[in-house]
Amino acid sequence: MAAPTVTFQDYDIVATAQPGEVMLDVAHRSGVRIVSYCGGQGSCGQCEVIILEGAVKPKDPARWREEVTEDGRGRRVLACQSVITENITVEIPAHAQAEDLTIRDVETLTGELVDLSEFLPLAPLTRQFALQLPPPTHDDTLSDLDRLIHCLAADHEGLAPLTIDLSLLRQLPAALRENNFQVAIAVTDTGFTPKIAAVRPSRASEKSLGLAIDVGTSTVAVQLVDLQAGQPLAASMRRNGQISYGEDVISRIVWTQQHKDGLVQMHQAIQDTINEILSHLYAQHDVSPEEVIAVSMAGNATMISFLLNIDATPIRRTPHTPAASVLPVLEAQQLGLATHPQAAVFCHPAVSGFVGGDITAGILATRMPKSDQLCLLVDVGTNGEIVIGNQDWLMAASCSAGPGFEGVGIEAAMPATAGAITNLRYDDETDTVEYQTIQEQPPRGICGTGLVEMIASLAESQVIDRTGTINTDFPSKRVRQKDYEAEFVLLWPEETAIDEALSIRQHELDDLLRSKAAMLAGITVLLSRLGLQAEDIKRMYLAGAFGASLDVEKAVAIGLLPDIPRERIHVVGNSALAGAYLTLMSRQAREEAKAIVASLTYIDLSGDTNFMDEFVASDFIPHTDLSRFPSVNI
Amino acid sequence: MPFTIPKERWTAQVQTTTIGAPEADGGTRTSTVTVGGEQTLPFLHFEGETPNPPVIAIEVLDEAPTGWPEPLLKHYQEVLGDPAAWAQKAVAEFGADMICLRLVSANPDGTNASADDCAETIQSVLKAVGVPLIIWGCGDDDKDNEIMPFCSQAAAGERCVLGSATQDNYKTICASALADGHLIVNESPLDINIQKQVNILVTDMGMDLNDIIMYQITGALGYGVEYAYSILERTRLAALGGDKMLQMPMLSIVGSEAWRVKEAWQSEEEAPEWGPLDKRGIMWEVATASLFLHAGTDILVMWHPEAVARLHDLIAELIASPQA
Amino acid sequence: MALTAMDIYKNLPKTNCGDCGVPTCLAFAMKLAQKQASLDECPHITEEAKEALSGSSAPPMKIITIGTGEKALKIGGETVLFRHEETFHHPCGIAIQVNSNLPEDELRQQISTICETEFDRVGMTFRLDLVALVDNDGNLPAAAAVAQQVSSLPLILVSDDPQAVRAALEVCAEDRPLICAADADNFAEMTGLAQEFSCPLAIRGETLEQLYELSEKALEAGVADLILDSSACDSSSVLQDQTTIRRAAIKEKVKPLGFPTIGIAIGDDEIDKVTSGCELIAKYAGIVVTDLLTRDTLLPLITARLNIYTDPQKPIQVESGVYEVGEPDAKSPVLITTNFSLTYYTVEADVSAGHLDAWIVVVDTEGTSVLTAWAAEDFTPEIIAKTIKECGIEDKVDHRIGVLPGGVAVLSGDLEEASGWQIVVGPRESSGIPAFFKPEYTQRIG
Repeated sequence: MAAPTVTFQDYDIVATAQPGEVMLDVAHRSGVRIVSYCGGQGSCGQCEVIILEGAVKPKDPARWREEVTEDGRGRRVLACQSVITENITVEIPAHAQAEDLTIRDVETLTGELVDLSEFLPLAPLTRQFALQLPPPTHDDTLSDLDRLIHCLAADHEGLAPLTIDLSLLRQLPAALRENNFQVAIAVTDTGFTPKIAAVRPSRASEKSLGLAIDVGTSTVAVQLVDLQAGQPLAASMRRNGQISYGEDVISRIVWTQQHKDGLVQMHQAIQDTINEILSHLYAQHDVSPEEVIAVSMAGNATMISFLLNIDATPIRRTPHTPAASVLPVLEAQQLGLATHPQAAVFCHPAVSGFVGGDITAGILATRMPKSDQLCLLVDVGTNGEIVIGNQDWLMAASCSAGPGFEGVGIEAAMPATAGAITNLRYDDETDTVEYQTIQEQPPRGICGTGLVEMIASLAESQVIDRTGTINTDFPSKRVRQKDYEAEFVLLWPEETAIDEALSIRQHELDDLLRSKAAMLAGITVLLSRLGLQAEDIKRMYLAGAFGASLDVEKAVAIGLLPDIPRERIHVVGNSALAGAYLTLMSRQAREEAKAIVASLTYIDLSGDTNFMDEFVASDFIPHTDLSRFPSVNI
Repeated sequence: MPFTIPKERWTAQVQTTTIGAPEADGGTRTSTVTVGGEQTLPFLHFEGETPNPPVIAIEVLDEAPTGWPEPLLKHYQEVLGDPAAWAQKAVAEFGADMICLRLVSANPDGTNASADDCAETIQSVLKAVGVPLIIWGCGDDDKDNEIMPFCSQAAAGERCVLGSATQDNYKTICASALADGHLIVNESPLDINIQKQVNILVTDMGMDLNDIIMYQITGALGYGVEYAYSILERTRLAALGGDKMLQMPMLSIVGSEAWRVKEAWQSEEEAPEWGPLDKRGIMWEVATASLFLHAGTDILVMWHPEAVARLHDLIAELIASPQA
Repeated sequence: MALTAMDIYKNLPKTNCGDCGVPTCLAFAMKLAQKQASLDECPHITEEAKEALSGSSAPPMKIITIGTGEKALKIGGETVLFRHEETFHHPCGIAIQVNSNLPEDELRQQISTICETEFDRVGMTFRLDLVALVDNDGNLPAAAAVAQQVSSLPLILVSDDPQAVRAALEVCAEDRPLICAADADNFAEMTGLAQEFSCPLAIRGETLEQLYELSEKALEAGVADLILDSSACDSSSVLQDQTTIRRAAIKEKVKPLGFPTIGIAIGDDEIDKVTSGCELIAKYAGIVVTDLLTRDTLLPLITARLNIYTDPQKPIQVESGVYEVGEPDAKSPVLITTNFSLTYYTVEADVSAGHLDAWIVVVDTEGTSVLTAWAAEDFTPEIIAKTIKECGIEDKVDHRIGVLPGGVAVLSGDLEEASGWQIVVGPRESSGIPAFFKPEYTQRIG
C-alpha cells in the first residue's frame, strides 16, 4: 500500500506522511505552518484543524477530542494528535494559521525617531562607490588592491587604510578587468578598519540598498532603505515563523534543548521568515538581492542567537548571559539572508539575556542618553521592556507582559494592517458597537490599539467589572457562554469580512489585563527602586504593539500607562526598527548604540517581592489604588 | 537632651461601624456592637484614641461538628446540633459580644440543607439571642449564592454581617445585603490589594463603605499566622495614612483556624514532644488571637470559652491606659 | 530617612568603571540603598561623598552579643518597625528563669533540661537561648559556678546586688553573661562591673525617661553594650514602652535607646504568661524572660517567634508534599503543582469549587509559580518525579496518573519517563480545573 497523503486545502500542497507521523509534523515538514503554542503536546488547542475527507487515528486517547463542525462539512481535531493512516484532506481554519503568517505591508518609518539630522554626516554601514581606476601601465605597476585603495583614498578622505578578505581578493583581478577598471566597490564600516565588501563591474542602473530589521519574538518587520539618499522605501512584516515552536523565548529555547535539530529548526524558521518578507519586498519594488549590501538588526538576545545559530540555553539559566553582547559586523551569507552574500550585518548589542538589541535600538532612537530630562521608554511586547533614564544613567527591566497586545492568543486579534479595527466603542444604550478600521476596509480583526479601546469601553459600560470579569447578567445577547466561559460578541459574522463573529472571551480579557498589569507594575517598581514617582517622568515613549492611532486617554483609563500629563506621552511605534534604521545609516549612531551597553543597568524585577504586590494591585481597571489615577473616571 | 516620646501624625482613622439594629432602628437586637474608629496603631494610647475596644464573636455551627477534641467538646456537648441553644449559651455563659453563625449544613457535599432550612435556623438564632449576628455561608459559591438571598431576607432589618464576598463571587451577597439592610464581609486570600479590590467592586455595586467588614484568610500560629499579622498591620497603616478603601474594621477567624492545627488537638500519646493536651488548644487559640489583636483586628471569631475569657481580659488590659 | 538609590548615585563618581564589581554606578547605588553593598567597595569615592553617605548608613540599633563562641546569642540590629518593610533580623532570645537558691542537684538538673529542650518544626530544630539565674539571698555566685559547668547556653545574672554580681562574674565572666541590671540605685557599681569584666549590661529605668537618662550616662561612662528594661508590667505599658523605644531608635536615631530590650512574660498563670510572651515577641523585645518550663507552654512561644521572624521578602511557600482536597481515596485524581502559596491555594480553591476530591502533589520550587519555576529549571521532570516518588502519593492511590499544569505540557513526555507515571496534560489556567474534570475525567484517564 502506498504511503498515505495529506492534502492541505487552500495550499495546493499534498504531502506524504511517514509511518506513525502526526499531521502537525507533516505540516511542518511541508511548509504548512500550523500554530502550536504547546509544541504539539495536545494541551493548547491552537492546532485545531478540520478533516474534510478521510479519517485519522488518535495518538493519545487521553488527549483526543473530535467534534463535527456546525455545518457538518468535517470534523475538528487537533493536528498534533492525529496520526495519519489513510489519505485525508484538511482545512486549516484562520485561527490556526493563515492570518498569522501573511506578509503585510506596513507604513515606512517616519517621525521624530528617524530624524537623521542629529547623525550627520551620514555614513551608512556599507557605502558603495563608483570608480574609474587608471588601468596599470609599465610606469604604473601598482597592485590591483593598492590601485583600488589609492583611488578611493584620493576621492574620499579618511577611508584608508582598508582591508579585504582572501575570498574577495581572489575575485579582484577579474572584477577590475571585466569592465576595463570601471567598478563599483562596497566598503563596510566594521567599527575598526573598513573592509572592502564587494567589488563588481559598474552598472549604471544599480541601486545601493539596505535593510533595517526588527527581529521580534512575535513579529518580524523589515524596512527597505535607499542607502544613498537615506530614504526609507517600503516596509513589510510577518509573524515570526518560530511561533509554531512556542510563543515565548523560553518555550523556544526549551524546544532547542529537547529536539536534536531544534536549534537548526529555529534558525531555519527565522531565516525563512526574513527571507520570505524580503522576497515579497523585492518583488514589489523590483529589487535584486545583489543590490542589498547592508543590514542592521535589532532583536532580543535569544532571537539573535537563533539567527546566528548559537545555542541560547545559557540565556534561560541564571544568570542569563548571552554568548556575545557587542557582535562583530558579520556577512549576510553567514546568516543565510537573501541579500548580496557579502552584505554587512550589524546587530544591535545586547546588555544581557533580558535586555537585547531591540531595546538598545529603542534607546538610541528615542535619544534618551542625550536628554537632560527623565525619560521612560516602554516597549509593549512579549517581554515588556522598560527603560528609564537620561544623559547620566539608564536602567532597564523587563516584566514578561506576554504577547496579548500583539494579538497572540487573542482569537479576534490581528496586526495593525488593512481591515484591522483600531478604534472601537460599545454603546450600551443602543447595544451597538461603533468602530473604525485601517484603510476603512471591512473588519477582519482587532489590533492592539483596538484592544485597548475595547477594554476601556467594556469597563465604562459595565459589561466587565474592574477585574475584567464579564458580567454574565448583562442585558445584551452579545454576552453569552461558550466552552465553559463567558464571551462578548463585538461583531456578528455578517458584519465582518471573515464571516466569523469577532468576540472577546473571558480568558482573553484575563490575559490582556495581566499584560497591562505586568507593564504598569514594572514601571511602578522600577520607579520606586530609584525613589522616583510617575510624575517625575518628563517624556514617556510608548513603543511596540501600538500604532499612532492609540488613544492615550484610553490607555491611561485602563491603567496600561501611569496617569501623567498626556502631552508627555509619545506613541512612537516600532522604536527597535527605528534604531536599526539609524545604525544602518550613521556611523555615529552605531558608536552610540555600542556605548549604551556600558551605561545601562539591568535589574531583575522577578525577584522583587514588591513586583508581585504591584502586579496584583495593577491587575484591576485602572489600578487598585484609584488615587494614582486621579484623572480617570470609569 | 531630654527625652520625648516620638509620636506619629496620622491623617486619618479607621471607620466606625455599628453592627446590629435595635428596635428603634427597625430590628430586634437588644445590644449592638460598634467597632473601629481607632486613631492610631493598636492600643497606642499616648498617640491617639481607641474609642471602641475589639469584640469577640463566638462561632456557632448549624449542625454538630465532627472530630472536635475533648477539651473543646466538653463545653458545648449538650448544645451541638441546636444552633439556637448554642448561641444562647455562648452569650449567656461565655460572654460573646456577637454570634457568628456558620451555615455548614448547606454544603452540597454534606447535609445539603435548603435555603428555607437555613432561613429558619437564622430566625431561631435571632430569637434566642439579642446580640448582633454574623451570618456565614457554607463556603460553596454556588450554594451560598442560592441560600444567601433567603438568609438575608430572614434577618431583614437586623443589620447583620453577611459573609463573605470574594473577588470572584460578590454580586449575590452584595445585592442581598443592599436589599435587606445588612453589612458584608469582604474576604481576600492574604493579599492587601485583593482586599482593596473587593472593597472597590462592592462599592461599585452601591455598597456603603460603612457597611463593609474586611477579612483576610487567617492562618493559625505556626501555620502562616505571620502573613495575616503583617497584612493586618499594613491595612491599619494604610487606613491611618488615609486610604479610604482600607479603612473598614477588620475581622479575624481564630477558633476554627487554631483548633485545626495538630498542636491544638493531637493527643499526648501521639505527640509526647508537645506536652500535655488539656491546655494546648486553648493556648494556641489565645496566642493566635492575641497576635491578631496586636496587629489591629477589630472582631475576633473564637471557639473555646476559656480562650474567649482570656481575650476579654487581655482586651480590657490593653484598652486601659498604661499603669504608672 | 533612608537614602534612595538616586540620592546615593548623585554622590558616586558616575564613571561606570566597574571597579566595585558592579557594572554601573547606578547599580552600585541600588545595592547600597538595599544595604547589599558597602561604600568601601568603591575605590574612587571622595571624602565628601563618604561623609554625606555614611551618616545615614550607621545602624540605628546596635547588635549585642551575649555569650561567646558557638553558644553566643546575637540580638538587636533591627532596622524597621514593621516586619513587612524588610524583615526582623535577629530573633529574640528566650531566657528561662532559674532560682539560684535551688539545691545543687536540682539546679544542675533544671539547667540541663533547659539546655536540652528542643522543638522540631519545618525541618529545623529550635532551642531556648539563655539561662537567667535569679539571685536569691546572695546565692548567685554559687549558682553561676554550677551553671558555668552545666550550661551550654549563655547566662543572664539577675541581681540588684553588685557584690553578688561581682562574685558571680569572677566565676563566669569569660563566658560573657548579661548583667541584669543597673538601676538608679546601683548604677555606678554595675556600670563599673560591666566595664571591668567586659560584659553586656542591662539598664533598668522605672520610667522611660529614667531609662533614657541612665542609658545616656552609661554610654558616657564608656559601656557600649546595653540592653534596655523599662520595668513595664502590664500589657498596655509593655506595648507603649517597647514601641516607643523601637521608634526612637529607628526613626529618630536616639542613641541611648538604640539597643535591644528585655522583658518578662508576666501573668497569674501559664496561659497569661504565654499571652504576655507573645506580646513581647511581636512587639520588639530583644530578650523574653519567662519562668515557664513545660513543653506545652514553651511551644507557642517558640512558634510565635519563628513566625514573627520569618523573612517576609521570601515568597510565601507551602511545604512540599501531598495535600488532600475534599476526601480523596485511592482512585482520586492526582494534580501536580508548585509550592508558591498563591499557586497552590489557587489550585486548591479551584478543585474545591469543582466539588472534587483530589490529591495535590506540591513540588518545592522555592516558592515560584509554575511558569517561573519551569523557566528557571526548578520544575523539571527529574525534580517532579523525585517528589512523586518521595512524597508518599504512591501509597495513597492505586493508579499512576498525574495531571500536569497545561502551561508546562512540554514536560509531560519526559516526566512519564522519569516517574513511570502516565501524565495527563491539564488546563493552562487553574480556573479550568472544574471543566477539565467534570464530564470526562474517567474517560480521560481510561
